[in-house]
Amino acid sequence: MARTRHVFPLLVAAALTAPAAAQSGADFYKGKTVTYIVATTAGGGYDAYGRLVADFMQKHLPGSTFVVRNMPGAGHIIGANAIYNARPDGLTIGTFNTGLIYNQLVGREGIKFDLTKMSWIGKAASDPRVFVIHSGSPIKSFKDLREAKGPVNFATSGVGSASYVETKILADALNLPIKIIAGYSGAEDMMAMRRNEIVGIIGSRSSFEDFVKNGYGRYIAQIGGSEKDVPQLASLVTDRDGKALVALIQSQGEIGRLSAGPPGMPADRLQALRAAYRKALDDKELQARAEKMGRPVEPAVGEEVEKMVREALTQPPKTVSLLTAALEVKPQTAKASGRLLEVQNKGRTIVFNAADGKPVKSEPSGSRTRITIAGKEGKRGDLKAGMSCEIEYKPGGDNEPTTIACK
Amino acid sequence: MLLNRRVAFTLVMLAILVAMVGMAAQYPPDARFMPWVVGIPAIALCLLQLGRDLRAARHAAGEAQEGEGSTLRREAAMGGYFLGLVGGILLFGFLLAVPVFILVFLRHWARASWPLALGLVAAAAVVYYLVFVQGLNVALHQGFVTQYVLERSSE
Amino acid sequence: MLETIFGTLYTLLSTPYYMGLMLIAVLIGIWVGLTPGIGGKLSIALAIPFVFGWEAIPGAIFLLTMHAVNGTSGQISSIMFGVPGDGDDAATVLDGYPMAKRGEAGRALGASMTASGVGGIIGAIVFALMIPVLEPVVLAFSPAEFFLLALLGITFIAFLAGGGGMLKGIVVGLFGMMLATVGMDPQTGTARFVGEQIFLWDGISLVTAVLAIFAVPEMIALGVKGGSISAVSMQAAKVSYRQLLGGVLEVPRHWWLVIRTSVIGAVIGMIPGLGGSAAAWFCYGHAVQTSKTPERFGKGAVEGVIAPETASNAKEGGSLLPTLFFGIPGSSGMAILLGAFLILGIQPGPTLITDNLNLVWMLIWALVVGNVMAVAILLVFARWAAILTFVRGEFLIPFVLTMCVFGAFVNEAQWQNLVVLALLSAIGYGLLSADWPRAPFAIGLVLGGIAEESLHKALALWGLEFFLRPLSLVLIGLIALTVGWAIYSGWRRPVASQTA
Repeated sequence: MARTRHVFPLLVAAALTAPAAAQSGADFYKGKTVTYIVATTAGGGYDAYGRLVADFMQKHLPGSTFVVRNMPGAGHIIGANAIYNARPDGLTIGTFNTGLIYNQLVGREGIKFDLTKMSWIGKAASDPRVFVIHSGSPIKSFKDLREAKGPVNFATSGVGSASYVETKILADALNLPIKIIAGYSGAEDMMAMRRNEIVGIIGSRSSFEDFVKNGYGRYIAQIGGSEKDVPQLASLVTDRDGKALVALIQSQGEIGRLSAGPPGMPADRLQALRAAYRKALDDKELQARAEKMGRPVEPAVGEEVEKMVREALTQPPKTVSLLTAALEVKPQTAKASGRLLEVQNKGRTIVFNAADGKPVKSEPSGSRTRITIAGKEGKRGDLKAGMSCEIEYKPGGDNEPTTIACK
Repeated sequence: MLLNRRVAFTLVMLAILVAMVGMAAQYPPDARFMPWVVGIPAIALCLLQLGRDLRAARHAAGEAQEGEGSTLRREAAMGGYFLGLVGGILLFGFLLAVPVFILVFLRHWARASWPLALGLVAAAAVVYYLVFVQGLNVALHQGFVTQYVLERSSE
Repeated sequence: MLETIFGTLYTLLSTPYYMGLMLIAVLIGIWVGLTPGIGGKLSIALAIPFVFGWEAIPGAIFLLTMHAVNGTSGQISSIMFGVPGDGDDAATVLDGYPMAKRGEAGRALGASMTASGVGGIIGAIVFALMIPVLEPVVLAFSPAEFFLLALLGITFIAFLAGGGGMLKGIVVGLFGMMLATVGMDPQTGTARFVGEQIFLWDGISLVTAVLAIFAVPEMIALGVKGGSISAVSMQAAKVSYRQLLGGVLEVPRHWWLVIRTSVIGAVIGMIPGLGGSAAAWFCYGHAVQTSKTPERFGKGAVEGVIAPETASNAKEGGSLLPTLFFGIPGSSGMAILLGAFLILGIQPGPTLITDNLNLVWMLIWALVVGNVMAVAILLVFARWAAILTFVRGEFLIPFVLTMCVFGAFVNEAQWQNLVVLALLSAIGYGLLSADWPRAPFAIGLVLGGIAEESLHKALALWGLEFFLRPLSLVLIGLIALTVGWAIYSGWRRPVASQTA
């Protein structure tokens, strides 16, 4: 059943403060076409939710036309990049996997977005994670899993994907005797379980409902969600780091099927979109269609989602180090602050003093290094010798900086 | 001459394979496994093939390479047209580059008359537009130059 | 039971609404399939918004028919211009295009379309027959078997190269497998051969590669050569319905091959994880291997057209099985179809047999009837379309080339893909003009990825012992036989035929 999550107080506040803004924003959309980018190919879950949302937002934003565009690739990164870097005129928004949070937390290459800065419109579903175990296995509870001898085979998607990351960090932090077999895409993991190759999978509950209902597997733990039939992992974990991790995964799971736009969208247009989103998800017809598709909705809108994202992206260092270990990214970064001694070749090479006072020659990346100058996004070509900056970089090799913040 | 077409191509293949095997050396063991298992035997076999090609070239060295020159020129021309099409699309976008390409090709290569060429281009443009833009709703690449110009003019 | 089977057929044929929908789906499917690069997946993806909100049965029938059919029309451009519609069609190009060059386009088209139709029907039959035994069969195939199957397919490279060209063929095949490693490796998370281009993370798109290696070079070669595609004039070729009919009759003539390749195709389709294009190539290789005169292949052997076409259509029927009963798509086209089914409210799973057998049989019959419709329409169309092969090439080339570029772009809407297209086309032309075989490249590209992934998983699951599984041993035996036969027949060929 759709469960509204204390949206009411926020609704009241928003309703009181933003009606005028929403109105002028809504006027803007008359006769305009909004492109809704879906970061996957057509036909999957993100596409289904995306089209549903786009359809009904169009209905509740009179005069507008919503067009869905699929931009698949690089595990949602291409689509997310496109959304983030689109012109912030309110005419481009889209959806992608919330799991990209993990990628951002470790500064993975290829990312050209910052989730904290995106204009959050809303999210449509909650997707609790579950531990699914093969029904033929002797493991019947989480305790059994903890105490199992010998490696227990768990299937995940490719290394670096959200499913892999979650499984690995949980296995590492909670000391579970799990052996990860990576590279299972789509529903291949369920087939593998039925073939007895795989004992367990950590995945989203919605994917496994039928599987478990048909008796092929059982749940032994769940993260988040409101179902009462499976014990919450948080209650089964006692140490602080473990709990922090579970909280991260839970928050991630709650921000399911999000819709967002690029940073810097005009406030009135963002308000209009959020209002339309709210109406769309409260629309009985949408809810009926969603149920029929087997894709229930559990919406949250605007500022609430933004808050959830921010929380998810603020993680204690232990968690970050677990994540970087999982993604096998070189973890240590060193910090330096001071003036840029030299800037060569349009910012492709810079020299600054490290924390120990010795000069460091570093090569900022055009795509991986996040550069801000006086608070605004910048490119390495904008860097000049003499600028006073805070630099975080990976020591060794070309000392590539992860962030450069200059005044 | 030794450097005939076949030898040249075998050399190209060899170069590509060596380059890729070399690049794979920096990857962790599991990741470079497949490229090496595939690439190293390929290099070996390619070297064998190079040997064969060189021997054949030496045997045929005496024979005149008839028509080779004009074939080469036509190949270069065709290749040029194709690369021009791709480059044109990248720079100026599908909507501009494709009709221009068809027109230029029909006029210069096929020596078609103006009415025929223009007619065919118009027909093709209509079909492409209907199928791709309207029907399939694909966002066709706008072309870097075109995009730049459009953005400048709308500011 | 019998009641359901024929009852649903009767309902299908006698409901104008359904028949009308199917006709439209067939027409759209044909139209979309004609265009190279714009394959089935895209058309279904685009149809999804339309069927949003339809009833389950008409929606499913519409989509399935459309999907089944656009595999059939891709042959037209493959045979006539050497421009494959997607990965499977490349196999048809190998013998279809040479036939067109001999003025036999009509015959090739007649054969390929009929083969396609018959393959699709046999695929549907296999689907129906396999329903009871589906589970054990599908569950018997694990990564170990996938790896060995892929390896078996790759050993066909040895055959396709044949004779003195074996060396070059193997190198090209290995090159194809090499290119299959480009992208983000799911086993280690390492981005291979990618540099800073994240668009390459998903690897080189098969459609782009196929267009670049097969289609573009042929167009360039045509331009260089001048004249028309067919070396033979229209009068001499006697293009007519008779020629078309001649092609059609080739199918019953090779009935045993047709049955074999259809069944193999359907079975390959049934096994999720092996990938769709594998079917066409596998069966092409199989046809070469089992022919008494393998040297005709690649030069216009009609079996080289029939085998891949029956296989690729049959696999559609086969891949419906895991899609409907496990919710696991049998091919990438099925993945999208699956999404569409979910949107329509069809829940895949074993309960479909018990609760909704009606729907299942409707779909089977839709496949059969749709195929028949498509073939009928296409045969009429083909007789006129074949004339294009006699038109001066210069008038065709610009249109075909632009279609190739559109096709490459539409598949992956990233402009960088066009650069990949251009680069690979250069290599493709090099292969063509230096007389290197190109078919093994496609096989390597298609099967290389599956081979690597399965090998890693098999090793992770069982270590080196995975060879000892019973089904694996059977496959190893087949591989050894194939390789042995290849070397044996290669040695036996007279030295004179070895071109350097």
